[in-house]
Amino acid sequence: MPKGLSGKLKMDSGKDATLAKQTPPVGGAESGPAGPEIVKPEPAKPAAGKPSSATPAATAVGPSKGEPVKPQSKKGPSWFWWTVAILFALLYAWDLFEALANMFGVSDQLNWLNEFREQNGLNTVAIPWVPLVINVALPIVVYFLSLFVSRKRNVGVLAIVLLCGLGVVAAGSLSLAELVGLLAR
Amino acid sequence: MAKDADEEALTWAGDSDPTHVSGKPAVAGAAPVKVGGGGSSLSPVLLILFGVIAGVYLLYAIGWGIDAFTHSLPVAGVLPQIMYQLGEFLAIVSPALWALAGWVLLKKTPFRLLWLFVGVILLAPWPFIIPG
Repeated sequence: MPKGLSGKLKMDSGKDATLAKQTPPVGGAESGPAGPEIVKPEPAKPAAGKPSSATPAATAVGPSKGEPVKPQSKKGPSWFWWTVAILFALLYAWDLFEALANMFGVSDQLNWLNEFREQNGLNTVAIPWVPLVINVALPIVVYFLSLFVSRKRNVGVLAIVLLCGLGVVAAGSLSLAELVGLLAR
Repeated sequence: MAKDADEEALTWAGDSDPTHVSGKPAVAGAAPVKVGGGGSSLSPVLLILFGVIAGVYLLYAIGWGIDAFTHSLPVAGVLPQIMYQLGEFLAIVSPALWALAGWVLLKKTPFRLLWLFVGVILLAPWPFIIPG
């Protein structure tokens, strides 16, 4: 089949007018003496001087030079992929809200406690900003890292990675809350 | 003809079958038949490592579960309580989710092993290990 196609393309380019006259446009290979004449021009194909990408067959099939293939590879994730990503973003946003509330709540509580301790001559406790800030940054970092890791994967992999990220954020938040509790004593 | 009939009487049918244990192989250079068909086999050391990590992950899940069931909820309100319990549940299943994500994302055994080691560090149930 590719031989017949290239033979036809050769004839269409108008290089051998006599050959085009002798052979029928389709199925000419089985018509007796005309068969070998169709095969003959094929070795002379590189000598034609035309680049291979000039033929329509090469542009449609060739993955390296074919122009129609490029837009498909540049095509981004589907709308369903983005829908799953946005739905998971709501859960990550809740984690972020919890972390922010935790940070402001703990700092307020420790400030009030430190005032009370100063009034009574006791040592004050420093606010553990590092674990609190890490707790805030954790859902953001994990969410965008999950999107980055699964940007070229299908929706199933995206869902698994985002769910795994939620588990990491949950475990990390609980551990950091425990650490804050230990440091704020 | 008589000799052939005698030889035939002294042989078993299907003796030339290559899958037969005592039969001769049909082609001398034929590849041996693979049993199991897995293709990739892990070394015993790797198998032991994966088993140890799986045990650690199981212990982590149990640790997160014990911590979740022994602590009271520190939040008020219906939605915060639901979300907090969802977080505790996700912490319990996080070792399994981590292993599943590594299995899906990575194909080479060293990278999978590294991924699982990172999970051992990240997912440790500190509230259970160091009770406050």
